[in-house]
Amino acid sequence: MTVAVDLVDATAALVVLLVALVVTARAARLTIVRRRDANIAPLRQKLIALIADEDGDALKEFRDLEPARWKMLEPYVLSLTAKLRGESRGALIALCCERGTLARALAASHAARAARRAVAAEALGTIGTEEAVARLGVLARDHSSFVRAAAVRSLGRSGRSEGVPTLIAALEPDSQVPYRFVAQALLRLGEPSAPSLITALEHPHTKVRERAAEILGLLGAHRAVPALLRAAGKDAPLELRLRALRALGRLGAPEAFTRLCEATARGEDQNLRHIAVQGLGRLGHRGAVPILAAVIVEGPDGLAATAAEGLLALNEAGEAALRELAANGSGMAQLHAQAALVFAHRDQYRQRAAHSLMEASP
Amino acid sequence: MSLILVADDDRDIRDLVVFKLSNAGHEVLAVDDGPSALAAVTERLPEVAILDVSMPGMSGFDVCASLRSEERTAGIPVLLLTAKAQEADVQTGFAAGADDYIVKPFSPRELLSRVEAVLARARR
Repeated sequence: MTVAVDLVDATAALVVLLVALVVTARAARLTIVRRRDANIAPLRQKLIALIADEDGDALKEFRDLEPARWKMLEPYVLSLTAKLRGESRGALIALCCERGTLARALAASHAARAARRAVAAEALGTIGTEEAVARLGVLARDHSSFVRAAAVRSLGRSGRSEGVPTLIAALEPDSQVPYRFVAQALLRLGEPSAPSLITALEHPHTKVRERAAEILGLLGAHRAVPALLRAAGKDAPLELRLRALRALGRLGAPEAFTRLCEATARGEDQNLRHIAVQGLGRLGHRGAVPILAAVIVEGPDGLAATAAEGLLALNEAGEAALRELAANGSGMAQLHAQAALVFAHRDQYRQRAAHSLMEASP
Repeated sequence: MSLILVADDDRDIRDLVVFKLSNAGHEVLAVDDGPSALAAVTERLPEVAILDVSMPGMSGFDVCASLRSEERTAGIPVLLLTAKAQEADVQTGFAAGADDYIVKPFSPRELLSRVEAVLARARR
């Protein structure tokens, strides 16, 4: 009994001690942050004003700042640089290079501790010079997954197309960088990543081809349409066809009409048919009306509902087909058409219902 | 001189925009969230509203849609400030009634010229 009571007391004391430690650590951290913010506040205001003026020469004061104050300000300058584009960004990067920030980040990228290398990667991405991007290429293959992810994110932030080959290599599953990070980095780099992604549609690794197709669609890279059409061919692996067709639908490429129509055929995979039906709705091609109407009649239900939505996207011709099915169709086809029409005109129905209620009320 | 409303939860961006527009001779009303932006327009009607898309609680899209739904504020030109450059996000912005959008990271100079262009269009 006494042993049990002692054990409870000891556990309670331990919990209290832990809570006290956490609270103290947080308070100390908050104090440090507040003190640092108070110290840099006047410099921050001045820096913001100079940046707003986009007067690179006016940054001279910060070039001459004593090292201790610069050390305090440096993380803030880096975070501000990441929010800017154009001349102001260029001026801040030049300032960072002059104050040795780049050299320090390059040195820290060789540190033994992964956390230090990851922080260095973030700084290198913000500075984004050729030298910084080259080093990020090495860090993207670091033995720590934490550092690899930071390097990939930073390559996207650097805004430099020199980082694209590294990112394409990171699309390979054995690169062990989460696909989400790589895709976001390539999307952030934008159109300059399109040529390499188009080349990646021929990559020997199927997973890379699938991912490249998906990113090209998200990127809105219209120049990728011919390559995506090839990737969506009937002889391609199913997953690649799915992603290439989805990308073509997203791009709203009229050239994709035939490929999308082929993929709605009854013998095709259900997911593929679904994506093709969605794509036909997005394309806005009047020729899709009979095909989507046939899908509504043939089902299955999920696919028919998507086809009905697709018809709505085809404006007058699509709506006319839906009205025909709603009036003269049979079974589920009639219900799907009616549901789509009610959805399209819901505001009208809502107003009519409200009006009827008003009239019926005493 | 025009009255411009700026709503962004990022203090650096808010201050930068305020400095840039004030230096160009505009009066700037700065707030850090969506509800404050809507409260501000009930007191004074700005000539342009610059709204950050990703604000906690109420997004720039929501604020824009709210402005458009009120007769008094429906005509305020809206510029969205967004880190989201994907086509779907831009479409969402325009669907909510935005007149233009600026992608973050941004150039203060570009922001000013976009604001001037929106003001010129509104005055025509």
